[in-house]
Amino acid sequence: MKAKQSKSSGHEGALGRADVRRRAARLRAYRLGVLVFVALALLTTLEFVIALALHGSIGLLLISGVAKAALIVFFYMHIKSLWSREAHG
Amino acid sequence: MSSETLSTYRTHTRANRLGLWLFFVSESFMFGGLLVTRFYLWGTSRPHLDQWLGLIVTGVLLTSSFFMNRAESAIAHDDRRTFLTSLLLTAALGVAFLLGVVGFEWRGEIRPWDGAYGAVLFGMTGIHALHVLTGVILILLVWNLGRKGHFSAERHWGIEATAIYWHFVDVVWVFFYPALYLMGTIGALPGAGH
Repeated sequence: MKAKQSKSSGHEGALGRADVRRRAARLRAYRLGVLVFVALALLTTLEFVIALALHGSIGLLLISGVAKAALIVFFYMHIKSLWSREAHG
Repeated sequence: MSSETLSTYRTHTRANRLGLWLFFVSESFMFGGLLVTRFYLWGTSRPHLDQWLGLIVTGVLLTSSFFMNRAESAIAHDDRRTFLTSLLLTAALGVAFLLGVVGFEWRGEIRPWDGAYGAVLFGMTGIHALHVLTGVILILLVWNLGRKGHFSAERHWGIEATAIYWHFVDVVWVFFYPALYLMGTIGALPGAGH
């Protein structure tokens, strides 16, 4: 009886640990999305300031645009999944 | 789902993903052509546009991309409630962007027939708005399928494809926004008056 109980609680413990791991992975994914969004918002604000302060410097605005596009392509569009064997989807 | 079925699904998804990215390459040529047109016709000048409206619609589109990413992450981790809510928020923000561009910017001082300024402004924002509209329709379609339980953590290529498409539309605006609103100085077109 005791052995059966401890086996059952061990199974529940493993399920609980798996649930905690899943939740942690989900939170990590959400957190990454927030970080990328904050970086994009900061760069957009920087562009606005560049346009006002430096009379729309084309070079600086292009650099900022490329940085924003790179963030989106790498983190939101998952370009890496094109050549990874185990895709996330 | 059996491991064999899942393996076949993943193989198909890899092929689909490659096809979608090739589609983006062809789209990039069109959007790139529009950008080149802007620099050729406007040079280092730009028309007088509402700066705050430009900043607001850009913020709205960036926020929509954030929620699209959240929707995709949510379905990948079986968080169905966040997935459906985030999709709806993305679609609503997409509609808000369209309202900002078509409802406000297009009713500004510049008209499509106002020379190079009008042609480029309406050409670039028009083609982009068409893509946003297509994206909103796609999002609503996958939301409806998701509501019926069509997607799971293992099988959600439809969501991934819609998300990548939406982010691509965002990447295009990342370049269009500074090109239309910020680059150069307000003034007459180069060569105007000759």
